[in-house]
Amino acid sequence: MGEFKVHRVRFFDYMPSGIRALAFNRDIERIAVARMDGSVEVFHCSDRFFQEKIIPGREQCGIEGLSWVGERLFSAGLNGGITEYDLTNQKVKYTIDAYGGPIWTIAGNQQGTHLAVGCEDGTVKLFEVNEDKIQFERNLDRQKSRIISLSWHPSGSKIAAGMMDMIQIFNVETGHSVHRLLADRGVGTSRSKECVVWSVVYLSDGTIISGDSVGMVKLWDDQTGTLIKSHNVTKCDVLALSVSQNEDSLVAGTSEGTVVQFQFISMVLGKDDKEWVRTRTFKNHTHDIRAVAEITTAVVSGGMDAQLVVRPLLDKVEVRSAASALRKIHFPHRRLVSCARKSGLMLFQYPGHLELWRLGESEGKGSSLFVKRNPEKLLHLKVKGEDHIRCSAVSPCGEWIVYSTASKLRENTLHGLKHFLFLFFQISKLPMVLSSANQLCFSSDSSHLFSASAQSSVHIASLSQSGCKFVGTLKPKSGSHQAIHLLAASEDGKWLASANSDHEVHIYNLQTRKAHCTVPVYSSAVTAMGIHPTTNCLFMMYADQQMCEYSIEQKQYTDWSRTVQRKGLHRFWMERDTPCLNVMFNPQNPSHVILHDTYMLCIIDQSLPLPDDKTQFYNQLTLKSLPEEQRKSHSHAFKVCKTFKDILCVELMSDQSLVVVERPLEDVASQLPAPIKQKKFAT
Amino acid sequence: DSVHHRRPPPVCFVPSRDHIQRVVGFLIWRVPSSVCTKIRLNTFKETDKMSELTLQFESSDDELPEEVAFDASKSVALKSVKDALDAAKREKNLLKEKRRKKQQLFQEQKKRKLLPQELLEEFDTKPQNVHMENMSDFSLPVSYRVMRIKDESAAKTLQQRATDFVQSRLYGPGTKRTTNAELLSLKKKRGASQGAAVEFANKKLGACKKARIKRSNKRFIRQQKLIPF
Repeated sequence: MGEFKVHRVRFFDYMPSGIRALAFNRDIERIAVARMDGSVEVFHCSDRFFQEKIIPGREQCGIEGLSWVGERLFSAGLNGGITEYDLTNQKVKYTIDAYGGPIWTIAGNQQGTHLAVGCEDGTVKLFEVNEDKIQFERNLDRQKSRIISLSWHPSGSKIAAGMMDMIQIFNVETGHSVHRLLADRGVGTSRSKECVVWSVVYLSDGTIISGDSVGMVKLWDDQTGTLIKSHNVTKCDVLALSVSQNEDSLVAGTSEGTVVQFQFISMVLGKDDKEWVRTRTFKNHTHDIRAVAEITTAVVSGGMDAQLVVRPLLDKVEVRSAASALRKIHFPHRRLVSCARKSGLMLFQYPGHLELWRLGESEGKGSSLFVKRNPEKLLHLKVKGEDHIRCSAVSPCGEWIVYSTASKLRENTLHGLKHFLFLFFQISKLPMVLSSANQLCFSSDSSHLFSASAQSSVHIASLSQSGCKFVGTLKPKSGSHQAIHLLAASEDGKWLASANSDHEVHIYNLQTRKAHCTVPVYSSAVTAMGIHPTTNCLFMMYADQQMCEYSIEQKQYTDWSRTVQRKGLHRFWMERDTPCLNVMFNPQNPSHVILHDTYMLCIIDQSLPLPDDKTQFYNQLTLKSLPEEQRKSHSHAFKVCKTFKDILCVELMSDQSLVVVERPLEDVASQLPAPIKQKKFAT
Repeated sequence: DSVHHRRPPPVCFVPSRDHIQRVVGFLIWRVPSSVCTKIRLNTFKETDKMSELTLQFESSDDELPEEVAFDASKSVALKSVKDALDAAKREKNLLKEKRRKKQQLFQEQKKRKLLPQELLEEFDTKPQNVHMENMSDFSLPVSYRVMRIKDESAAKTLQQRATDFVQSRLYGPGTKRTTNAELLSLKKKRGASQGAAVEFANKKLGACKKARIKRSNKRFIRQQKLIPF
């Protein structure tokens, strides 16, 4: 297997942003997540919750709500504007100002014709959803306090609005308020503070369910305008509510980090009289839960601890499989670290800036080496403007850095890096064609830059001492226009592979600048791919943990790949819940493929036999204890190392040392906002 | 002869001969409420009135106390009332003077703060002289925009105010919040592998707090001279 010198890097202070809003689209089975820094991510619920699309945010965004209208995604925030997103190209389509001050909530009706937003000035504004844009229609009656939450009645004729101390029911046609439901304030010291109705849900039978800052989930009747039942869920605030599609299950998220489920069932088995009963409590978060979504088979929740938790509801799950386990998504499913393999440099991508570091040097032998020279930060590059960085890359030789925000692409050359005393910084003028890139990749000899842009095409630019020149565009023969999220270039500079969000993988011939072939479409998304330096085989890892190898020159799957498909992968491999983000090859051992995911590092030896279900999968320790001669007969292809935790990136440098970038979750947890104080027994 | 009094007469309490050592005499005055004065009676000081009375007492122990003429006592009483009123008036005038002086001082300070009058007049007339005649030669670089300061700041404060509202409701006073270090330490305490609180185990956490405590300890030791030089 081999011995590697491993650089354990922990100075990438990556801080994920807290989750502010969730929106589930039942028809396309996607869930959209809005974060506090304004970025919007789309996860595919049936593909192991793979993060398909990421739209980066901007400074001072203040996003507060998300809403799907058909297949279109809208958001509204405290900057007073409603934004529509272009999900094909993964960017903002347009933003219009609602002229009502900060917007607290946005909700679309079930018919998909109108959007309602609740504003700071006390108005509920209705917008008509047209083919290409949305248009302001009218205001409902203006109220005295701000509108914090909104919910449409499924018929589209009434709207329930949660405000300060009360809930108003509006008749949409006339615009007048029909009922006023008063929520009472708490007891004791909280009597002086107004009760904020953080969330409302309007059911089709006329029941309104509200969650407020006193910690109560209240059920109201809209015909009489009175309170039916009140449940005291927590001592702090109930921040989010979500009801399932058939209206028999409701989940409430609290400030303490608990998710409480209510179900519409009858108290006595067999009897017909149903009511809302509190059933389950889930304690999967440590900080405030700002958004919950009930997606029938699972409960998805997210909050200030920046992790997306998917908790399957076991009474709705048919088969107990890997898909029905608790899933926590901490890190993005994109690479934030790129390495300059030949010069030992690493580029860290933060939302607002880039950092270039040089690895340290060590000496000695043993499991922990003595550090001779500490790693040093060479460059701190701040982004101009308010947009966040979408993607970045450093060339293998370490002389070029390129990054792209939503609006522009910038490239910098670093001369004299070998001396690293002075950094002469030169910003290259990029050709106008390269406006914004979804993904960036350098060729292995650092002579060309590949930039994935609109319509699933790739622009090529050549790099030299004098600057950057646009050379050509690679267009796929047919297929979708979805944005490309992965690019891989071959070592010899002849081939380029691109993978887009529609699960299409195209391979281009760089000498003729034409499309060469397309890999057969698989049902799961590609999470990582790489081209073997000698055999030129494209190795791909999918979100459902399957892998395959495609020979580019022969335009078909390799024999090894067919064997893997036939035999199937080991159960433990398939049960891993985080996707593989990088595929590397070892020049010294051509049959080795190095992969990693968030919790493990694995070397696949293609010359060894594959394990079947009965073999011990994690057998490294066992092999160590066996004598040398017996090892060969017991070993199988998958060599998994679980020494490193919370891995963000693993790279193999040209001097045969491995770099493992870790981000311990404890360090992330120590920098989050303050949690609620909870009294635990015996502490 | 009867004298008409509009006010009740002062009552003079003459002590008996047994208590002559301690001259505890007090005069009960009923003074009108409009005169706010402090009437101090020095019981142990030799004032005119008291000396008169004591003289009279000391003259003969056995005889009946001398009759004090009504007129004399009346004049004495009226005089003291007048004195009290005068004292009150004087004090009022004094305060008034003080206030006037202070007001004058403030006026001068204010005048000093403002620019000289001529400069202000000059500024007043200035804007009218500026013409927009050089608008044509004035062109902004391509990347600049023109915006009114009023508009920009108004919009920003609305968003800022909304954020502040949410912050105060979730993290402000009235909410029971603790620190992340506390949360992690509790988890460690009840976890599988129990260890010390994170502030002790992790050197980076709370480093500035520890540094501050160390510095204040050093200061204390130096102040109290606990370590001899």
